Amino acid sequence: MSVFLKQQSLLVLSVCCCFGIAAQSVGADEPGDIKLDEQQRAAVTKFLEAANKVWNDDYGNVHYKMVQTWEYPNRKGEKRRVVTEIKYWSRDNKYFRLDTKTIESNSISPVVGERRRVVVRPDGFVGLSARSAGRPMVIVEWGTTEQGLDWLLGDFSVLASVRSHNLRFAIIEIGELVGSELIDEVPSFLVKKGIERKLIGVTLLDGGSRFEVKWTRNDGPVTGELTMLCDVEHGVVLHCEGRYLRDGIVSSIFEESKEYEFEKFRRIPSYYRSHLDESGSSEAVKYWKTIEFRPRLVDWKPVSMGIFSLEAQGVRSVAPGSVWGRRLLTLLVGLVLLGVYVAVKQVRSRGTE
Amino acid sequence: MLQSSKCAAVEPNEARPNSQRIRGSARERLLILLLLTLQTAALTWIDWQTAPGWDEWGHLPSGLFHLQYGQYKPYCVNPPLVRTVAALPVLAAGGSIRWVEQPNSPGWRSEWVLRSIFLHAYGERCFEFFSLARMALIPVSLLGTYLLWSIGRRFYGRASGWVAAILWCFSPTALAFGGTIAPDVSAAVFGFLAAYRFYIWLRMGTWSSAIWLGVATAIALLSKSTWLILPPVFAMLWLCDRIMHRRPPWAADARQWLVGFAIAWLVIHVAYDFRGTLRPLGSFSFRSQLFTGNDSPSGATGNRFADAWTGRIPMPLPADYIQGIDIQRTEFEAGHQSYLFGTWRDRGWWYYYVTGVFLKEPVALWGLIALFVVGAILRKQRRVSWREVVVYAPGLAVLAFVSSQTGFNHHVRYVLPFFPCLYLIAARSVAVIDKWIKVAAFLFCGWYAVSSASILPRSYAFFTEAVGGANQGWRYLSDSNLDWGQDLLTLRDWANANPDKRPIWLLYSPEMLNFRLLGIDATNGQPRVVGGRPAAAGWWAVFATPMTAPENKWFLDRPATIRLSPTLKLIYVSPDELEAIRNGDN
Repeated sequence: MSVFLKQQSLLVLSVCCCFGIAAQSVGADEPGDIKLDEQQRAAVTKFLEAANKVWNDDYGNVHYKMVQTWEYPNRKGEKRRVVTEIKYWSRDNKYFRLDTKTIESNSISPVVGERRRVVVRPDGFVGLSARSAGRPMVIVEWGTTEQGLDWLLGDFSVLASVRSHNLRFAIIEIGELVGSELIDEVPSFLVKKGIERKLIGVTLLDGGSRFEVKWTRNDGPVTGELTMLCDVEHGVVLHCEGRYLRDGIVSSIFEESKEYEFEKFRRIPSYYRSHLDESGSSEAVKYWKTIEFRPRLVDWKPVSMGIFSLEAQGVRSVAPGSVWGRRLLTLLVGLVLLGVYVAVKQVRSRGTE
Repeated sequence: MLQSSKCAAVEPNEARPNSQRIRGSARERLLILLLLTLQTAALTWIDWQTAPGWDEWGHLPSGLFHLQYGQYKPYCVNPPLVRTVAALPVLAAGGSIRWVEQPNSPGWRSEWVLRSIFLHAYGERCFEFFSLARMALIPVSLLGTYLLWSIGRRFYGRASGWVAAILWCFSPTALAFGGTIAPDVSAAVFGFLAAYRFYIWLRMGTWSSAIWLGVATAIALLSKSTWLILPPVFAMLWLCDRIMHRRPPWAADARQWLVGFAIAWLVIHVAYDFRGTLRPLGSFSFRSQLFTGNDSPSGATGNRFADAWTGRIPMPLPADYIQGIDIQRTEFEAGHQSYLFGTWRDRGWWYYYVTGVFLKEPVALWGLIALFVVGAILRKQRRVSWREVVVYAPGLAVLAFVSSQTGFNHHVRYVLPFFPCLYLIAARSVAVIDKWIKVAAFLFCGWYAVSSASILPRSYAFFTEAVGGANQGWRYLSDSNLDWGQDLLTLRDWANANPDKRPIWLLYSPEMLNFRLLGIDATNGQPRVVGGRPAAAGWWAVFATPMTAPENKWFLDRPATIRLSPTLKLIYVSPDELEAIRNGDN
């Protein structure tokens, strides 16, 4: 895996962990301490079913373009801003492609024009990257479907947009809190063992069309308090916030909110904003970042299979010409040298005679 | 000048190896031919009956890439000679690899991309191509047998030649890796050849011996970069030899050194199509702490020589060779999990390889070594001569050098260059007049051959009888010493013969291969292992190396429902049993 993409994946993974996405393995925990009443349980179950349907169906055939704006400080504390254009395609929930291109950046990395592409199919995946605008896309990884899904779902731009990460998180986390396992396969990067969770409460709002769920997470020295506002009917997460404490001191606070235009974009958020603040952290480097997404185009018409071709990737880079001429020349020079050696030897042997 | 060299090479009258080649009788020639035929048969069996080992998946596509495009970045941690030779019959049979632009990023290992492209292009036919590629390297193993036979005879007499040849011919490790396209056996053979050519040069001091020394050294350096130690080792041995023997004047030796060096330089660069020649040291982009000067393995690229005068020195090795050394160094600095005697830890052990050699050799070999020691104690062995040491020194140096690299320990095959020395020492046991020692030695030799042949074609799984043999190997070593995925063909055949036994979950090398493309109706099971236990019902095909991983302990403890080989077991998990596992009852 290329260093760049690997770093991206690690970054996303760390973000996921900070946001509390890291979930316990399927079926390995116990329900929370509180008991849900019938109405609460019905709302939560309906949300989970709808959310799972969103995950499996609505995002299975889609093409969108989105603009991601990422703001964060560098080591000196100066504000950095990177704007990336994201294009995403999926078909039958089996074929996926993600293209990203940096269109604005005041950071050393990524630079403007930097591009990445990931194509995932049932028979494998391919990852490409180009470091700058003039360079061709180069294949940096070609592997199995599982690896590809890990790459794809590990990409924050996918998680935070169509593969909405707090939606997935909600399905896994809330499902486990209330003892409902709807998902068989959990991406490996979402699996984290040894986390204790306790459900604090579920509050029904707006006549039961929404609910707010609160719980705590305990992962060794780090404890978290989280709240999530969920839309029962559409199965989406509207707002999520939480704070993490290390040894009783607040180490990070996060907040995420989404807006939906269900008529226009269905379950894809028309606006997404996430803010993480680690200024309470005991780490030497204080850190915060804000990410926003705005969709430019969303289309549910099935896309052409050619979009997902593995073989067509990276062929624009020009192969070198035949190497055999060069080799024949080398051979010729070798034979000449050998001839000289033999000739010298013969002359010498005649001389000694 | 030539004459003076020859005169000066005459040694004082001391106990020393026989200076003359012993001509073989017709019967002996027939016997060595028979031995080589046996070895060819054993290697052919391995070549076609075992699946490619993990590294081979990268070697063959990289070899094709070298041949087709004259680019040597893929798999540059090893020089290209062995895999390029292996790729020749595959290219002739219609195999090829598509062009892939190589990213300009130091440390990036493009061979794994080529592996997937090759697999995607040829699917099940990959197995056939790998077998063909392996066949191309059989002559190298045969050369090893011939060399040991020839040198053993020359040094210690006819009987020793036979013992040495039989040991190499039946060596489980030499067979296991001689039956792959990994470069280790080739490195052992070519390194031994270079050591022998150095011995010849020391004795003869002729121009032709210097030229052949240059060629042999270049081939050794082109087979594995470990042999970078050869030039300094030769230089030290030469200096010692000058002290111990009367030699030609310094200038005469130096001229031959220079010619030998020039020949070696040319041969090495021919193998790289003269690409990356004489590139200044300061122009490289490195990753290892050694070459970047970084204090920690941060992954940042750099070059500690860039601004120094040393940065202007042109490198005598091709650029990709240097880059490969840097990648290899980076991996050793980073360290990896290593396994020995059932213990995992994040670095290696200095005694890993010595222990590994003991574990991977039949007990009979130690019987031969014991006979040699007994002979020496009873003063029935001839005194070890200095120039005999010259042939042993490079192999011993590899053992010492590799043992000093404790970033990680995965492969005993790294010390295969030491094996010819070990076998020559064992062969010395019959270089005595005592008849009973000779008889005992040949009995040990027979035991050795039978012991090794009994596990064919799975020589990779061989473990000494002293620890209970192949079935107990997982207790001691892992990785290529135990299982490198060679049982994939066994699994494919079983799966095809049992279409009703589904689904099959593989614990192989996680995320490495798309098994369905290879015609194996199975899925990577590692993501379905939750909390160290299976999270899916079906047939779990557990390869020995992943079985030793702590996260798969459940599979280690669990008896096999069907054992397909010493390193592959099948465990059936029924739906009811899965429920019990989930409830913590199992």
